[in-house]
Parts: sequence; C-alpha cells; structure tokens
Amino acid sequence: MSTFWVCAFATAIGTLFIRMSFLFVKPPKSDRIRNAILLIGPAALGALTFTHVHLVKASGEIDLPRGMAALVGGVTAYKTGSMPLTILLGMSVLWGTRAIL
Amino acid sequence: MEPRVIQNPVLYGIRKIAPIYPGVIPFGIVYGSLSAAFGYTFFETFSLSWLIFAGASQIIQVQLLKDQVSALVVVLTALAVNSRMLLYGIRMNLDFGAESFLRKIGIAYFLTDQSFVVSTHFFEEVNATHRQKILFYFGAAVSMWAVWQISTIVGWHIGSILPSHLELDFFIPLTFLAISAKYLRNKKNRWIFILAGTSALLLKDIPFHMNLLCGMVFGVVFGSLFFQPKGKK
Repeated sequence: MSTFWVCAFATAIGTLFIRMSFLFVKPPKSDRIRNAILLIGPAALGALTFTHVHLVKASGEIDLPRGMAALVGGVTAYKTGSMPLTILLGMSVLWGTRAIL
Repeated sequence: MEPRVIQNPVLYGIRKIAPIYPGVIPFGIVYGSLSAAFGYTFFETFSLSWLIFAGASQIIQVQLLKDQVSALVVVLTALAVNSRMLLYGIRMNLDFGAESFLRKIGIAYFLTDQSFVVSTHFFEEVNATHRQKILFYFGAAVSMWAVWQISTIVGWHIGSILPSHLELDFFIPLTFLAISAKYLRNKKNRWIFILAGTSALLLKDIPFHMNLLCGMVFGVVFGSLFFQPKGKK
C-alpha cells in the first residue's frame, strides 16, 4: 500500500476516533461538569468566529474591510438576530470598503 | 417552539445550515483544485474527502505528502488539526450519549465545526424532543457532507472557478455571528465567546491550528471558574 493510502486510512480512523471517543462515555452526573460542558458551545463559536474573520493579514497589517464587515455583521446579528440580514450587510460592507480603500 | 421544527426537523436542519454553504463551497473547490494541481487522481482526491471529511486536515495532508514528509508526521499533523473535535464530542455526548453504537458512529463521522455549531445552538435554544434533535443533526450534518463532496469534485475537475476577490469565505464568520446572537444576550456566554475568540486569535501562530482548541479550553475554564451557578462554587 502506498504512503498516500496509509496516511489516508490512518488519518480517517484517527479523526473518527477523535470525533466519537467521548460519545461512548456515560454523560456526567455532576452538575458542575455538565455546566462546564455546556460552555463548549459559546467557546467554540467564539474561537471559530474570531479566527475565520482573518482580521490580521499575513504581512501583520490589520485587514480593515474585514474588521469593519465583522463589526457591522456582529451588531446586525445582535440587534436583529436575522441571519440573511447579517450576511447581506456584512458582505456589502466588505465589498464596499474593499472597493473604496 | 416553532411548529416547523416539529413537522420536519430534517429540513429545518438543512435550512439552518444552508447559509454556511457559500463559505464552504470555495474551500472545497480550493482543496479539489490544489489536489489536482499536485497530481493526485480523482479517486485519491475524492477518497480523502469521504474518508476524512475535514477540510483543513485534507489540504494539509495533500501538501505534506507532495513535499514527501514522513507518513507519521503527516498523520500526526492532520490529527492535531482535528483535535478540537474532542471537545465537540464531549458536548454532543450530553444529547446523544444514549444512542446506539451504529448511530453514534454516524453522529461522529458527520461531525464538523459547522454541524456542531448549528446543532448545539438548536439543542439549547429550542425545546426539542430527542427524535427532533437527532433528525435535525443528521439533516444539517449530512447536507454539509454532500455539499463538501460535490464542491471537492467540482474543484478537482475545473479548478478555482470562483473569483477569490469575492472573499466568499467571509460567509462563514458572518453565519457564526448570526448564530451567536442569541448566545450573546447572556452575559456569561458573551464573556466566554469574547475570551475564547481573543485567545484563539492571539495564539494564531502556534502550529497545527491548536489555537482553536486552546481558545475553546480557555473559554470553558474561565466560564467554569467565574460563572458557576449560585451555590456551586
């Protein structure tokens, strides 16, 4: 078997194991642990959102259009809770500021 | 509870995850076209997509293999990138811990950043039954799987057809922001969201995308220490 397929199968099995490992453990009975686990949702959202914005370019400069678009998107989401409106305004600000700056 | 949730949770799941598709499709196309450019066959490219089903680690894998890095390093690097899913598994266990073995394998296989975020938000915001939760999850997660497979196939065949200047990847953080809106009305969640996000951003230069996992862990530890319900401290 070639290196490619060894890596493909090993990564596939390893990734599946990572994804399912804790699904096979009994849910914790301690309220403290359950409360801590419920915090994973907002923590994951925060980490994923902040990193996907790509606010800092490879050169180290701040990407202003992306920052402004994220800010407008965040305020829109917070005020309206509307996903289509958040995307529409966020992308409009991104493209608009990119065209101007 | 919204009536639509009761009537068809599968379609509701698809509807809730659909706004993320435009952010994922260019990523899939990039993976497919990169893989083709590196000389991988269609079968190899597509096999990685359905075997691993994790975009970032797939791209890293084809790049490292092209550079003839040792198999052990390739596998460990890809697994390190996917390590954040350990936390997702812990969270999903609260809702799906009692499922059958086969269904748990299915839940685990389809678990991605996007399906995790959309589903846990649904579980916490909507007073759904267990059956609705599982149908919602599979509706969202399987549709994301299909979109990923199709976009990697398209990418392999026709390369980068979407102009990069459109920055369609920005759909992803905007969708996450919209999903976060209800979370952020709660002071505790707001602090955890900001702390986890800031930590992940400040640690962006650490290898293997471990900043995501570190950010999440910081957020959870911070929230556990400072925001335990009264009487639990």
